[in-house]
Amino acid sequence: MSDKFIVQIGEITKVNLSGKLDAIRAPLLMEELKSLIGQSVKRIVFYAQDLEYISSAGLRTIIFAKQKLGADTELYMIGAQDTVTDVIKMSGLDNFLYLQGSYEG
Amino acid sequence: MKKTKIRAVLENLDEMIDFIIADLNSCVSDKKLVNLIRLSCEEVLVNIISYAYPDSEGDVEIIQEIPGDNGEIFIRFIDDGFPYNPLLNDEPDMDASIENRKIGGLGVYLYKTIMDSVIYERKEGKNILTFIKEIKKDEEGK
Repeated sequence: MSDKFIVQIGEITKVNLSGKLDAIRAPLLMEELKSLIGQSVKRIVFYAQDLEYISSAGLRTIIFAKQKLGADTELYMIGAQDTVTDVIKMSGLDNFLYLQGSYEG
Repeated sequence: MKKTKIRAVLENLDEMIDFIIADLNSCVSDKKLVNLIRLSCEEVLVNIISYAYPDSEGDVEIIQEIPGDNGEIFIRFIDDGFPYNPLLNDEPDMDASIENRKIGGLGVYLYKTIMDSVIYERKEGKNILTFIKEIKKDEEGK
């Protein structure tokens, strides 16, 4: 669990999410996302196949990413389980976070 | 009915959640519903941990009753910290553009949406927040 969330930084930045993204772990992701401010990130791809659980603390990191990295940054979440997509949809985050089964690229 | 009292610090969040979830897993077969109840409880507990005791440390008491004949789950959170009624929060504007989405209020919105009833009381210097969730027949014993 000590692995970094961000596995690739660039115009397309890749983030691995696994286990629980709760009030304990979300701040660690937030710190990593803050390091992207000022870089030209066009797209963030969250790989969420192994993400079991997300709380509002986790959702806040996604809102943060969109607000601080620029309105043009696209956010994708790949392979998320129902337990995660339920909460994302309930929160209205699916308006700007593209939920996909798989991702080419 | 079972109850516990735990020091309200983030390090104890998992212990609090485990106390609640242990019995839910055996009586609610719908894993998505268990997940949503877990989420609701985390939101309350994190608020208590973060805000109830700004100048000192304190405890949170958790009382849980799982379905009797009426098929309702009942979870109560009690702290003796700063008076706070989360139900008086403004609801987040779910239609706001992302740039204007407020960061706060989302957790309260989620548990109000998930639970059938959320009741706040302030009694004898304590904040008492109660969740009630009906477990429908088709969610039992699948």
